Amino acid sequence: MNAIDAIGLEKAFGDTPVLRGIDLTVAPGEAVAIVGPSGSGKSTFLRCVAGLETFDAGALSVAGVEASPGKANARALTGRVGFVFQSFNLFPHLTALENVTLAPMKVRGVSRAEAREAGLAMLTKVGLADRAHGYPSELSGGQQQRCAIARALAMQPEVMLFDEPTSALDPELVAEVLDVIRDLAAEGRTLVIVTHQMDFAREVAGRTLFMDEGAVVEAGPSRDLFANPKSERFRRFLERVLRAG
Amino acid sequence: MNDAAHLIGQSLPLLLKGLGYTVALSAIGMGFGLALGFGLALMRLSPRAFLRWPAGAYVSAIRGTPLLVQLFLIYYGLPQFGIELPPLLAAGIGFSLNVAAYASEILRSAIAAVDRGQREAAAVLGLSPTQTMALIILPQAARTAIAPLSNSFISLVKDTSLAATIQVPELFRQAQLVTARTLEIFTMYLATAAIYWLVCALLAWGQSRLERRAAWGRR
Repeated sequence: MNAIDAIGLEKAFGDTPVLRGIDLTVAPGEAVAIVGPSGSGKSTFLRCVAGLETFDAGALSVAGVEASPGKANARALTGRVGFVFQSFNLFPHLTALENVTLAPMKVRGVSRAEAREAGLAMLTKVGLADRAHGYPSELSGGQQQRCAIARALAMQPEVMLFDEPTSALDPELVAEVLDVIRDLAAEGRTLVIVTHQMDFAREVAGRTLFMDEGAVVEAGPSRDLFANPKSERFRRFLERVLRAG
Repeated sequence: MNDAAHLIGQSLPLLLKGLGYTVALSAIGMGFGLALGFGLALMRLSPRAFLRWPAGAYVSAIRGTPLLVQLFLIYYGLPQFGIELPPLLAAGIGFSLNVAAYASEILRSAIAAVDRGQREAAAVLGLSPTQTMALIILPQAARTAIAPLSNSFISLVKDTSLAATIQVPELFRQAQLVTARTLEIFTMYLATAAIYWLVCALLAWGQSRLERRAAWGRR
């Protein structure tokens, strides 16, 4: 069974189409990157996969859960999909550890002691063991994002989705977050990463999709794709991104 | 001066008895008002018009009319329809209904002000709507609401003096009775004002404690 099966996903905001028939199949253990200019629909697509956004037409199956058009089913996935937001969205009134243990306790019914133990292990994994009792406001952006990753991992998701996880970070904090994601890929976890970091996509993702104007323009093994962009649009996009440095 | 101290000392038991009513009325008004106000806030935030509309009309009616008139309607007006309420109950209902309207506006805006990303984070983690409200939205909304709700509470304590007009023997009513007997008008009302101030100062202190507790690491 595939981790993600999306066939012909379509969505419009009012009269403006944002997804024009997106296909994506992700096998368990695969790491896939989605790149493209802003407004290309890549984040919207990821949000549809997570059940945070409805889609108008097409078929979608995520972690074995079927989604139907017109229905946002994030809750139906009950933590089987981990989502990492650009803006972290940590719960500000809870400590790092409480952020990580909340869902396992409340959704999975894991005991407090067990959740704490697993939560501390997750925080250790992302290098935050010493900040376990700090509140989000006391953490740097990079630490907050690593905590958000730990929070998602604590639900033992089958798929991890990253929506521009480093876009809100100061440049010097990007690496620590990418390192964590790199480790997850090395562990063989299933990842889909929407990113503006081309080097990172090429290095970590086995496969990359280039999206523009709501459609997948090019897709294939990351090395080939970045080495030999076929379409004019992808070539120009890469030029612009590389020039921006 | 000695006379004044003596007078206050003598009438203190009466004033304290009145204070008991004042505190009870304030607590009842705030307690039921908050509960009712929360329900109204949820109605006003509902996507369903048949829930939103009545709540909006209620808030408009209560906020748009004087509290004193509301109390008179309940205590003097309802008996015309065979509903005779004892003074304390009438006042308790009046203050609760009044506080509810203001509290609902405070809670509605505080809930709406919680970032949308918080709901989304809760949803992808699999939390139910009820869990999301109780564990994620309300604690954050409560922090925003502490200051304006404290304002309402402090106003309410002072507004309970209006209950004197519908026969509730609260603090101000007791002061009136004492002054009628002793004619030490200024002293008595000043002492009464001081007692109201003490209660309000205590509430303000409670507010700052709550605000410190809800700082979540931001110090």
